[in-house]
Amino acid sequence: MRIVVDNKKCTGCRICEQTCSAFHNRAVNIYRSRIRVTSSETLPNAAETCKHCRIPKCYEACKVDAMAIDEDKIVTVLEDKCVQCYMCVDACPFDMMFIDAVTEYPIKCDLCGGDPRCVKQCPEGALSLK
Amino acid sequence: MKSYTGKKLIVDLTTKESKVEEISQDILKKYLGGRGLGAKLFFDAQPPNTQPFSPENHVVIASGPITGSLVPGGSKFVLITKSPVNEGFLESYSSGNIAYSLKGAGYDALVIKGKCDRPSYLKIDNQKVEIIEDESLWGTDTFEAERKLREKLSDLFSAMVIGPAGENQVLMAGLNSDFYRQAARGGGGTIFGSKNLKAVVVKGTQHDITCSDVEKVFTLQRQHREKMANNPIGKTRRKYGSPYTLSMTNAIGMLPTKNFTTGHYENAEELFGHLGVDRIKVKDKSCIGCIEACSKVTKVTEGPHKGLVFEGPEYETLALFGSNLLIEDIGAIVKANEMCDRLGLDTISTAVTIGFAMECYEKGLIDQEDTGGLEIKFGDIEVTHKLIEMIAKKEGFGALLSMGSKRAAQKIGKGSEKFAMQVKGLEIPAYEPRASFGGALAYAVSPRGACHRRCWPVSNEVIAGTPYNPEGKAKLVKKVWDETSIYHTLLFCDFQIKHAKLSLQDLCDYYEALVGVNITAEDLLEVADRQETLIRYFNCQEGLSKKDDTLPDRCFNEKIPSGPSKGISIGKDIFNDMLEEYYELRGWNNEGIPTEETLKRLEVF
Repeated sequence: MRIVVDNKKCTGCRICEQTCSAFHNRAVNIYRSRIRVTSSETLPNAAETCKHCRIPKCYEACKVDAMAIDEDKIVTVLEDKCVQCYMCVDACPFDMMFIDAVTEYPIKCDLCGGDPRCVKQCPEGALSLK
Repeated sequence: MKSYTGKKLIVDLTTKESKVEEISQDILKKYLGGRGLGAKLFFDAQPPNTQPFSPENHVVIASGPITGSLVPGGSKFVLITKSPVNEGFLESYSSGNIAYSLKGAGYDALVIKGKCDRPSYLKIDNQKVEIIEDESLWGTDTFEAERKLREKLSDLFSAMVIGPAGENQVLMAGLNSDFYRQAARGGGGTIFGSKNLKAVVVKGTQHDITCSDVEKVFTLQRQHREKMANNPIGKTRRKYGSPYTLSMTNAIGMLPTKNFTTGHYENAEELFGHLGVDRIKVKDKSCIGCIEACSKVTKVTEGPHKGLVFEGPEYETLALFGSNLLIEDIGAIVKANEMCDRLGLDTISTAVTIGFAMECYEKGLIDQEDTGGLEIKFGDIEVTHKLIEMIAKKEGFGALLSMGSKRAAQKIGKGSEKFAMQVKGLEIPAYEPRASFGGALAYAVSPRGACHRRCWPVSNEVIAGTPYNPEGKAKLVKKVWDETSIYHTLLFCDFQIKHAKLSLQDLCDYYEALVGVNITAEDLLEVADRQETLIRYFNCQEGLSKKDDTLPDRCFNEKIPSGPSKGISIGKDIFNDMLEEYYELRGWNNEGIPTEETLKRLEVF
């Protein structure tokens, strides 16, 4: 399972970013979001997030066992073990691991435990779970 | 109180010092945020009778409780300063990431005073504040300035910049942010220029915008979206954006045509209205946190500007560069809009002032000797584009127009002030005042001059079938005014509310879920009344009075000659009755001065 973005529908409103940070941190900070909207001068680019790779490079890159992987191949960061070396961030081929602007731990999409909030809150219906 | 940061950042450009101060809970409760909070902080900081171009003139940039939060439409900020146009209260609004960033850096408001010695920009990197001298940015257009700043700093910075018009202290200079969002009206850019301040850049990554009940706001947002999706106005606005307004104004004879001579233009919808824009639309675009996506990215498909990609134009620009100048070519209007944004000019004031010059030329009040050889005729695209450039650079005849239509008329004389379409020196937006008596009253009493953003009673008047009628208009104006004022105080983008038909109770529900404090519709209306009286008090103190709450002579003494609103003008007595009734409803005396009793009752100070 992963979040699929329909580029044609995305208007660049960043509600997914606000929602993501609010769900995970109970407060809005788009620089703590695990889904990101890249912006340009005129045309908004679409949102993008973790692809939940079958062979996750981030998981492989971690040298301190600070990442857990469940049966659905959803990788999560274990902050109590993480040493903030960012090897996982560098390893992601899609640049979809981010650094939390406040805690500075690496962060990534965890599909909110199967019910991703960004999909629910997107006003354009541009996000879906497939 | 969740969502608020409870802090203001005060920056002195002269001494290059900055400090952070608490905003008291009492002020937040009495003035809530946005327009109210900004007005209060400005009033408390600004010494009376400060000249607009003096270093002592303050600029306050404020956000509201919903700014940056999960509540849709929270991307706005308000800029408040003393108007260079009329020396009264200037409020100018825009959106973009800058409002979010300011709050994300930990500030509800930014207060700027003083003047930089040399061209500089203000850099706010979370808690670190610096004033950086940078001659290399001076002279650049707004797009280039923003690009350079992002290159120099990083993409994490949001910018608010002025262009050459602001640097040259042209009286219709605005501020740009995120390339296509403008705090255009009233000369905010002019004041930045007078302070040698090219830009404010903000990186706000470290402050979390708190929320009392996240799940509740999620639920309210989904209900809000449904309301908009099921609302006919919501649907058309999502598809066409603000250009859809033209279909209504043209139908009731309210579309400014030929410098507000008349109010209807044949086939305008198809040529340069919503259908014209839809033909060249590439994509819908949103501000941060928006559920409407009213902004339309367009690409010119034919003519000399073929290939130009641009965000916009909006209704006002289409009408005022279109029918008002008798220009039908949408590509030419897009180009005019792009030039104004790039040079840092307000499209409304620029277009209306050019329209005024065209009428002067047509009537023979000015000739080629005055214009430096230019034939300023209605419908001339090349001359229009040339004049935009000349206004921004104060070149030749452009220097006269750069002061706006009121001052230009004072210089030209010969009765030209009768058709200088402005109130308090600020040009009239794209709604013919004679075709909406409520709208006309709102223009007259708006603190910054002719303004459609504080109160837009037109749709109520049209639905009631009484746009050309004074009955009950003072009451209607006050009601719509107070509601709109609440939107701009919580600091919503009002489209999100109007096009989903949210009630004041809906806003109270949002406020409670977000801030964690119970509030009622009556409380909100009291805040609206209080801030209006504070702003009026300020304007009276600075020398504005009842005589400034008026309309151009054309509205009183010329009947609309054609179209659906044919034969309409506003009688001066009728207008005066509406005005005095409005004052009375506000608790101001019949000269428009707030009474002692009203000041006390509303606990203004």
